Amino acid sequence: MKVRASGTRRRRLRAFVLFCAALASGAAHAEFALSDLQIAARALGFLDKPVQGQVTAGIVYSPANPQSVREAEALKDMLGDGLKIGNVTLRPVLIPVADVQHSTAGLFLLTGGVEDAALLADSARIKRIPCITTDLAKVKSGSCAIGVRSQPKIEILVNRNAASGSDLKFSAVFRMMITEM
Amino acid sequence: MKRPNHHRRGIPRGRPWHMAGRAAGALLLLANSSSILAQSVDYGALEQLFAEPVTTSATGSPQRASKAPANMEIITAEDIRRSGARDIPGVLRHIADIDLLQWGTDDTEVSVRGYNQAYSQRLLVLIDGRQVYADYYSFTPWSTLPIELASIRQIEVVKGPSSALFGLNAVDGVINIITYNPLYDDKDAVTVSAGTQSLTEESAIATFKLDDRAAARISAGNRSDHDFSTDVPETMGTRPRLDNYREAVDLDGVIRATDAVQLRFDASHVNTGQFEVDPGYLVDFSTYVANSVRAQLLADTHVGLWEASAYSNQIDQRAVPAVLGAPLDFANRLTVLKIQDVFKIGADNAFRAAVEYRSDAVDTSSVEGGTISNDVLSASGMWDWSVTHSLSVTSAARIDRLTLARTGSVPMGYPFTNDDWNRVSDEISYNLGLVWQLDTLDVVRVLTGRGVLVPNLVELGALVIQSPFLNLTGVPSLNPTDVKSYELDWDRPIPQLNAQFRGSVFYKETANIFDVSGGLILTSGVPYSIPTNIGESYARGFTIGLKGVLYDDWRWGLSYRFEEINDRLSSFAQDGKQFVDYEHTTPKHLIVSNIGWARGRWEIDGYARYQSITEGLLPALGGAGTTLVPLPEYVALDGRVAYQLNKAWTFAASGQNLAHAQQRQTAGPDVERQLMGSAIFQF
Repeated sequence: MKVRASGTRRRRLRAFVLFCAALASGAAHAEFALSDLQIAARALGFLDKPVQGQVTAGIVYSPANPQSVREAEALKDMLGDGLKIGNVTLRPVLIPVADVQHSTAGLFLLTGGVEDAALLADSARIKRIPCITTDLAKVKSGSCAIGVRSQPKIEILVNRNAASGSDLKFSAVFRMMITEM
Repeated sequence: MKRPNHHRRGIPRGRPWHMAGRAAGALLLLANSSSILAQSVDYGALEQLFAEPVTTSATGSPQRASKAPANMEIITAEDIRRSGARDIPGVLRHIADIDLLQWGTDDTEVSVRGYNQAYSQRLLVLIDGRQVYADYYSFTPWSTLPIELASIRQIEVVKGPSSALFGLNAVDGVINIITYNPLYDDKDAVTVSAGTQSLTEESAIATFKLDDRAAARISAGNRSDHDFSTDVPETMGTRPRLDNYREAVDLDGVIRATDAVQLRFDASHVNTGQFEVDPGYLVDFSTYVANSVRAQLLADTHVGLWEASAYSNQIDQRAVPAVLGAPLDFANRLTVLKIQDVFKIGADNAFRAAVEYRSDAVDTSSVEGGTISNDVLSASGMWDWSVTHSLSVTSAARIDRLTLARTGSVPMGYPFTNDDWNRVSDEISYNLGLVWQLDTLDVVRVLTGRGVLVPNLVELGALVIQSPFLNLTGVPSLNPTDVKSYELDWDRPIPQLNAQFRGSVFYKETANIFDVSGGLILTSGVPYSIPTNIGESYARGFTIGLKGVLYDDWRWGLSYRFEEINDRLSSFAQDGKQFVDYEHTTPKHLIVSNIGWARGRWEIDGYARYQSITEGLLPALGGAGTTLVPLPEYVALDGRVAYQLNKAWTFAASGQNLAHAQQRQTAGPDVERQLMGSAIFQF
């Protein structure tokens, strides 16, 4: 028990540090913070088929890019054994970008520094699952359907083509309150 | 005392409901053709997602408060609880830009940015989008609102005209009271209060969830109190020494018919009586019986968010002694049918299109036999264009076709026939708003709008009083009041203080002001005094405000408003001689502040409201028109202390006008210190 408690504390501390780092670094920083994950998970509740229950969150990273690896590890630590946000519990699994087509994840969390995002976009479309990132450029390019950002203001960006390709339909109320492109 | 319940006229049924049923059927079909998730606005979930309040009161489309193209204050449930208020005017008195005339314990006039008067006309009040503003007399009798404070999720205060969205009479502002949705929010509480002025009040709300698809909330309240015992100025008439009372019950039910469709039903009944000041600045005791029913259908379809709603309000008012000693008895029936679609085209353009039909009628009083009706057919639209990521432009317009009519008999010697009421007119209102996010902190809004205040049914002819020396009547020829507003706002967070700044500069033009008196029709017998249009008014001013949170436990707010009004009235009506004077009765300086602390089981809040010297209207000696009397500056202090004993029980003590046993705030009776203790049981 002690070991688990200590591990939990470490993860919380790390999540807190990451959160503070995201706060300090502002809009230019694209790494996932805990608040970004909270926004993402809650946004998925406004889908016509809301994502809920235990969901495997595939953390997509590029093994060739140290920054991407570091971010993926940090995100995996943040999610720990499963992070419950609202009606969703996200359980992490690391997925090298080259392996995304073999993944059984229920959604993708795209880290920064992944160059071959077209493969990811294809996989999300074929598997009809959401791809979420804090790198809004990836949403603009259509590599990922949903972008979230918690600082300095909460922003949710949805690429309509990518979302439609993955069969993601948001409620009309939600669509009125976000930025679409 | 026997409490009158003079509910006599049935709520109109048949055709309007039949039409609503057809519309609902069509929407069900549309919704079934889509698998998209049903979402009426789940305020709680959206507020949690965006970390700020959400609203539909700016454009009709759901929006984050920070992005709404309107100057808006959103009063949260926490704000309401911590206000210590026992009614909605008590909550609003702590808000910047709100003007008050508290005539008695249960009668307070509320306006936005001045222009207040007895039976304040220029603020439209709604509950969940249903009008509770009594437009037969153009005012809001707050005690008739079928709502308990604990059932309110938020109060949305929109400053400036909003006629393009809400329709006629939303000329200076709108207050839209949003209640908890029983499907999403499980609220159960019983509150028992007692206080000075022999106040006793019981209030209860209970939510019942049948399953995930059906839920209902019932709320009920009972209140009685003595009014202030302070002197009533002699010229305001003899004050009836009756106790104020209020009994209210409301049932609000929601059914999730399919994953894409929600049906919401609401029915309410209120029986109330209160000391009040009428539009002629005379005191009376009015009893009201107000009933309403409403059905609303919401469908999230592939062609947008549809809403079909139908409601009927019935309000019976009896006022004693009233004008010239004649008891007045008005029975107003309002039926509204509305269909609206909010949809997006492409990524950057959101639209709202709506059609609405209103049937509004009241019987004449005190001379009975006639009915005045004003039916309105409206079409409205809104376009919200996200020009860039940081710039959006919203334009909204509405056209109302008004059909005025009179049926029934006319009294002997009456200077009109029913044909004089056969009038059709068109009124256009609009709102334009630009919201520009300058950088990560600064937001600028440029707003303009035109609102239309139609003469009420009483002024249009429902008031008919005959006496041996002077007759009174409304007339069909009054022109609507036209209000144009221009405003520039600047919002900026101040991270160092964990605070938010807002500054606003506004300018407002009002044309065709009407007055309850001022015209005269000479006949072969006793002449008729009639309402008439008396001129124009211009207002300019600014408001600056800061609010923030310190060390998690402390919250504070401070706002200052400067306003200067210039009336240009007909010579006979200048300087407060004819029941309307905005220039002299609007305070130039208004400061509202609050500080609050909460930790663990304790909540302590204090509020201060300063109003600079101004003047008030009183009936003139001899009964001809009004006169201005000076009013001193004042500071009113309110406060609340609450202790939460456990999860179930909370005890609170609160007070209003705490600084003085009695204080002069209006030209009417002085207000008294009001203290109240409450026990709240949540389950």
